[in-house]
Amino acid sequence: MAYELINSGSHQNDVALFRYKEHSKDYYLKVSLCNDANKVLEKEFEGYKWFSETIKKELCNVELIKKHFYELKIPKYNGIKFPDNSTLDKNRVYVEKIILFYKDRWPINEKFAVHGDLALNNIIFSEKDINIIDWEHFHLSEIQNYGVDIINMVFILLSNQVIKDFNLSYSTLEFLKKCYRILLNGNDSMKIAGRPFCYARQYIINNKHNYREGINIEEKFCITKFDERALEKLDRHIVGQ
Amino acid sequence: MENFISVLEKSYSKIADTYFCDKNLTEGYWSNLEKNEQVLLLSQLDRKTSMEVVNNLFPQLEEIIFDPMRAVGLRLLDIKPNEHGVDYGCMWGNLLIYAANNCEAMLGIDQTKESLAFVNHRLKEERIGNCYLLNANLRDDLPFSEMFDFAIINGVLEWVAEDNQVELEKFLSRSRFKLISPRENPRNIQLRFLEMVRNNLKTNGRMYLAIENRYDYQHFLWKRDPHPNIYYTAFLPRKVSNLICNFWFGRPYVNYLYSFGELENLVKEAGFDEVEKYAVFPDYRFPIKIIPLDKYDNNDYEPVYNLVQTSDIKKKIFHRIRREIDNIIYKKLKLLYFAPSIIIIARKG
Repeated sequence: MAYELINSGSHQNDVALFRYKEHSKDYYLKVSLCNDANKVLEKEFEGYKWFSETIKKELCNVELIKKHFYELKIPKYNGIKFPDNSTLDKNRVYVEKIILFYKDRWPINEKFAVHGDLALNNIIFSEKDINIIDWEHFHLSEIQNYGVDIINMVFILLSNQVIKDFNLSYSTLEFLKKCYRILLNGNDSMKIAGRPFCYARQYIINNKHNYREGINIEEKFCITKFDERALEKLDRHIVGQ
Repeated sequence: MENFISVLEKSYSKIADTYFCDKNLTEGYWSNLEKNEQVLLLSQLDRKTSMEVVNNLFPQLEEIIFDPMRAVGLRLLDIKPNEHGVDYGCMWGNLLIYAANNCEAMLGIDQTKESLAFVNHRLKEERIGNCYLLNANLRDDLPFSEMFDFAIINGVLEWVAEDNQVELEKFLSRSRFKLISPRENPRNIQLRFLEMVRNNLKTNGRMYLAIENRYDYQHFLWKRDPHPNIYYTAFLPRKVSNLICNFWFGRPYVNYLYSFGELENLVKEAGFDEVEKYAVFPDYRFPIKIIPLDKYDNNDYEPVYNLVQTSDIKKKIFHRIRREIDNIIYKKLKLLYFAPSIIIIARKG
């Protein structure tokens, strides 16, 4: 069985990512290289399991292999994938799809959870289904934090466009307003209501301990690098105040 | 049933948790540090952790010694918990410790006593009790016939023919100090070493062999041959490289590198049967990408380097050019034969 190392330590987490074929099926294998990285894979496995059982209502097809150094065996999901530098304007259809998926399927009860890194490049759209990968920042959370993942995803896509002082085009702004409307649907009890980007930033900073251990939040999540005043301006545009 | 541990007990003397040859202790030395630096390093280990001492005295070695990502290639060996393995030329113990954590028992062999003393300290720190250390010269016959399930040879084959004591920085500085010439053709010495490695493996045992590629395209342009630290000797015909090395060092070219094909031939000549070849980027010491040579799909290849951010404009331009050339050679033309390093997984049939 020939393994291909796709990358190693790219997120400073001592986890390597391989791909290989087994019985003519493609798999990814995340391999821990130290004890701390075992925890990363354990957390990620919890995320996959939660997604399968809570969202997709099926058995989890990801396997955590507990050797001295853990391994996470993930089947390859076929479908449309997106590069890291995807932008909002070029992917509006998919953004809308994922918001609708989130709205319909994400639980708003005690099982509510945050993916933590719901970027478009971690979502695979197949004809019938949506799969989400890279659950290493997964954590259960309070329902009031509904929407934080989506706002963070939208911000990543926005930041990949050339933005100067968030002077966005009319059509981009209108699209953002639409996303906000679909996501909240008039439910003002959620904490993102009224200040989506500011709250998403605050959430990540305040809940650092729930994200992967040892991660540099400021380096990883671009929303945390932005000044709160700049985000307030963006919030005002979208919320329409 | 006899295993390598009972052979160690029977054939070697144990001093301070390391096994030595009874007849004459080897005087070999190969280290990134000079001998006096090694003494300094060891002298501080009883007061601080190994990581603290290294960070304090030789921070440039921290990654080489401790970075677990260095061992990532060993996943290709698919080590099982009930297996016995050997690391030939284990040096600072980085790969040895990873392997020991994954198997039943591990033997680390090195000619440098000081390195073994350091590894021994690390094993205690990490509470690893299944790892044994042997001070021996890899050119000697080692009495472990058919005792290992896997063998690791990481950056060692190219040094096997080297008779000189190597304090790396001094060695790489191009002073014309008198170097000892190899006793015979380096390829023959390497071949004998691989035959010994094969002999010490059980049937179906695997060998992990990592080395620089002779035909790394960068050798043709801006990269020095990493061992003699001069240009072009890596890929030139051996006779020409001998002339160049004779001029600089007063002895022929010793640290033979190989192409994918040449290395496969050498390994097969040593008696191994199945050989899997992998192209490694940016090098085998800190691998980020490892691509099986026969199953190459270039669609998502991206150049990878372990780079530190720089503001130097010349370096930035150089990195950009190198990236473009990498894309052309490896992605568009699919010429993995010009990759920087090679990993071979070979099986004894």
